[in-house]
Amino acid sequence: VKKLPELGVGLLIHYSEKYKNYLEHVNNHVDFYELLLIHFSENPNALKRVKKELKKPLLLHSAAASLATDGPVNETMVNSMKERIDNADAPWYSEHLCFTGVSGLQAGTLVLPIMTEESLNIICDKISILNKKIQRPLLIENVVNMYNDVGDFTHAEFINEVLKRTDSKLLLSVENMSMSKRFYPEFDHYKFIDELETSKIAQIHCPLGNLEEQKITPDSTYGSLEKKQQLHFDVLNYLAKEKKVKPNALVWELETETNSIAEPKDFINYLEWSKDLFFNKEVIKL
Amino acid sequence: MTLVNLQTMISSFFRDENVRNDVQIKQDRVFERFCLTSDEIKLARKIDFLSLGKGALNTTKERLGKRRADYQELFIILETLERDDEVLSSFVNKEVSGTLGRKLDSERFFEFFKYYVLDEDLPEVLIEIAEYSSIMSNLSYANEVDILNKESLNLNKPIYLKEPFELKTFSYDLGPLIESDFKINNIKDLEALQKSETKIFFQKEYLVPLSSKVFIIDDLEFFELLNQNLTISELLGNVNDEKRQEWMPLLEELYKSNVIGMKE
Repeated sequence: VKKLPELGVGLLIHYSEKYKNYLEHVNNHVDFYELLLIHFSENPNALKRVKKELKKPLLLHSAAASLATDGPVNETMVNSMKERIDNADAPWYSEHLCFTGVSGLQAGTLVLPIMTEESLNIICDKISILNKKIQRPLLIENVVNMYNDVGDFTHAEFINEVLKRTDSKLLLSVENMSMSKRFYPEFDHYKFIDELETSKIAQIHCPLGNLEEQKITPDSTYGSLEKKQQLHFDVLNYLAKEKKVKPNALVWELETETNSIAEPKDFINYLEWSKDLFFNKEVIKL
Repeated sequence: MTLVNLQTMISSFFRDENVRNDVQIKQDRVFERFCLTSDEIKLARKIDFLSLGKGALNTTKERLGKRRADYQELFIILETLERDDEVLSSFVNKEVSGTLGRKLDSERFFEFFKYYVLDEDLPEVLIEIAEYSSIMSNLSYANEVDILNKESLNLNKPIYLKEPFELKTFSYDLGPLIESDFKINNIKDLEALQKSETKIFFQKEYLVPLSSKVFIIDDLEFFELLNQNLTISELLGNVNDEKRQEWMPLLEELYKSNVIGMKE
């Protein structure tokens, strides 16, 4: 695998006016940005302009490739992905380990694969095609366990096997772990992490909601959104201190379960905290 | 071994409420309907369909949220009429196959909604409002084919309307939609609307990401002159003093807001 650069702590932004204003407050603290490929599917050239405007490295995140679908790769889609990734000159891009449907029928979400040897072969073949066509490192992201693990592997074992066979790295989504518990109550964040080959984690996605709203928003799975957010911070601590994870990038996601996004000052606080946590500086206590 | 039949069944489970119900009560028939192989059946029997059902409901909610966003102006009115949930639920129950890209599902919704209005005998102005919303959202997502104006406006260079744009004639006055000032409290208010032809200009917004802008065209002559490869001197040379004084600041504003561009 080509060695990935260390990008530091970034922000996943949606291509909209809301974020344009937000960045004026936080841009000086952010090391890089991540964008969603889907926002540029009808407008790939806009990525060149956005790259110039943001003046920071860009990562791109995809949900289109449906790596586990038992069927051929959609070449038009791959070419379109490549165009957008090249326009952004992304040092790497990421895709979910899932299927989104079959030819002519989409589920409308990212579905956890049936975890069999057959499924592994399908996924590894598709990743090999993407690697040949796109020629940039691909990170694989864990999806939500919307149902139990079905097949010959657990979810974490399956991810490890894909990473091993394709020589890929992992994008670990903390939010997807938390959402798993919503649908599949047996899911356990720490058990899942302990089963993962954590040395392969190159990027982390972690959500940050509006802290004030989280305090007053009840949640059927976690008691309150504040408790869910605290679990996310605890998971980051666990990854850094117990599992000694050294990612190349940590990305905060602001689109979470509160109506408003995090206040810029709160975001900056947690951004700096996570820089210290993962990127070899003294840990700040919040 | 294949997985495609099992993946088809799971995908359908997400899209189709009937499949979700059938899996609970007559599982074998569902497996048969989707032609699952014996290996696939063994795997399918291990699936926790209760968890998957929660996922399917959540996914449907997200899809409907996207269609609400695409048809923002229409749904403000449908919410007032307390028809929004019924329209969306009828849409997902009818449209249970196919791919779900934004543009495709949005077009699918428009086709569905036209028939819904006719079948439910609702005022046809709703179809025009849906079309208005559809053009707005399509242009918001459309590719930018031009660049932002940088140099100052030169009276001797030809001007043009920036692509992509669309000029649409509606048979009802949809002007109040632009001002978010449509006073609709019930179905009778909609039925009472009189036909009044309105020309509306929609355009991709270059200054704000993922958005579009809209103008009512009440001076078609002016609008048509904007796209005839004329310089501003030529454009203003053909009109009287009064119009010249009215149009010059307007042209400056249109250039500043990137509605028009300037050729070399």
